[in-house]
Amino acid sequence: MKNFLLCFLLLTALASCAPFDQKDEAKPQEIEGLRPIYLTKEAAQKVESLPPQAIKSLGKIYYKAPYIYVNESNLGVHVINNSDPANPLKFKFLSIPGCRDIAIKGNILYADNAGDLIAVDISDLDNPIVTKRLPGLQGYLNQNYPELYEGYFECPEEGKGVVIGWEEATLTDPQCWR
Amino acid sequence: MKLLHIFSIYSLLFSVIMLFSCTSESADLGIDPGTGNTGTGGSFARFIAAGDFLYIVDNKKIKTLSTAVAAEPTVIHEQEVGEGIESLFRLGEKLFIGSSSGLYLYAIGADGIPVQQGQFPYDNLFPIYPCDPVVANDQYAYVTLNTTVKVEQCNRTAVVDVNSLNIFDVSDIQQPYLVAQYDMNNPQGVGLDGNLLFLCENEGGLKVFDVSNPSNIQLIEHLQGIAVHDVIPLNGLLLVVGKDNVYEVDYTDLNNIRIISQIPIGA
Repeated sequence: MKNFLLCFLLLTALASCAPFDQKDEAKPQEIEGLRPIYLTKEAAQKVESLPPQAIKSLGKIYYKAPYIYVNESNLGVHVINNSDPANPLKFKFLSIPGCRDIAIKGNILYADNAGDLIAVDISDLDNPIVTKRLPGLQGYLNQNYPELYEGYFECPEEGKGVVIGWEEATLTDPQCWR
Repeated sequence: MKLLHIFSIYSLLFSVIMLFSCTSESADLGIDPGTGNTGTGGSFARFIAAGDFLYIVDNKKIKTLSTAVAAEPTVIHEQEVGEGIESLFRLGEKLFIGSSSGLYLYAIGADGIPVQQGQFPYDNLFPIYPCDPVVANDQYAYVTLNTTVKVEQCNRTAVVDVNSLNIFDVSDIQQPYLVAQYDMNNPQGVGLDGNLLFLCENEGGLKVFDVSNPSNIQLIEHLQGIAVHDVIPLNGLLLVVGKDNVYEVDYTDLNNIRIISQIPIGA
């Protein structure tokens, strides 16, 4: 009961503070948080081979001789030639927006691509060809908020495109938080 | 004598029938990881290509796709598993699904479709929902659980901490049970090769354990100074991935486990 009263008092105090705080800060409030990375649906579906790219934030790893495939923060997959494990070399970058997971059978790479599942023929790594797209099959990427995150974030806006990831940013008066 | 004859004929018949039923009951899933027609992933994998099938998990479901025509995968089945699915691991015809709500065990049927056999729910074990990659052999499953959450209660903050390696006996996949639990420091991905267990601790580096005795695992190597989150053991060569790089570790000689390469920066 004592605790309950304390909580109540605290809440009342907080509630009465809130409008005062807002009035006090005439300038927009700047704070560190996350903001959505948008892509148009068309851009999100574009799969292409690029020259080796810089590593930003690596995710999952997959191996099929002689290559190591490493996911890059929702952007695609680094393809590393591992013919000599003492000298691995970045060979190509497969740009697959919104990708986190892959698996390979023969020359076909399966990947999630901004909510869809795609099959990509990688016989020629310079010229990957999407052979099948299953729309919405792997709707794993949350379009509403960043998962496993606590803090402020810029509210996603419909019409801006597909949210393929989140990036750290200085936000001005963010309206969303978790 | 006659009776014995009849008995042996029957048992022969029975074995033949069993043989046939066995062969027809097993889906052809292909063999060695990495060297076969399909590749192999780490312990955070959510996609597994095996034989003519592709298994994928999302937050709640496992979906089975036919890849008989590899370039044209088609969904043939999907089913609910549980909440907060994180990872999928295959051992022959068994599938292990790690989630924040529990460990789920499946057997892949002749049609390639997984059928749930057993589960180990975490609700009684932990006060919160941890994340958990899983690897396994025929007898044991190794699950790392890692979560540190702040729970705000009134004006007090409590920190709830679950950071452990959990070993489950899965020899009867219908009745898995917890054998041992070891405290770890923010444990992430795990890999298994025989009696060797590789465990990533992010900034804490890579630990190598001898797990011959699950009740008394032995740390045999701890590679520090690297931030790593997942591994793929390849018969003496360990692929290790961290936020910033991929490392390769030679473990052919257990007295000399060492990093042999990393990807050159800027190359």
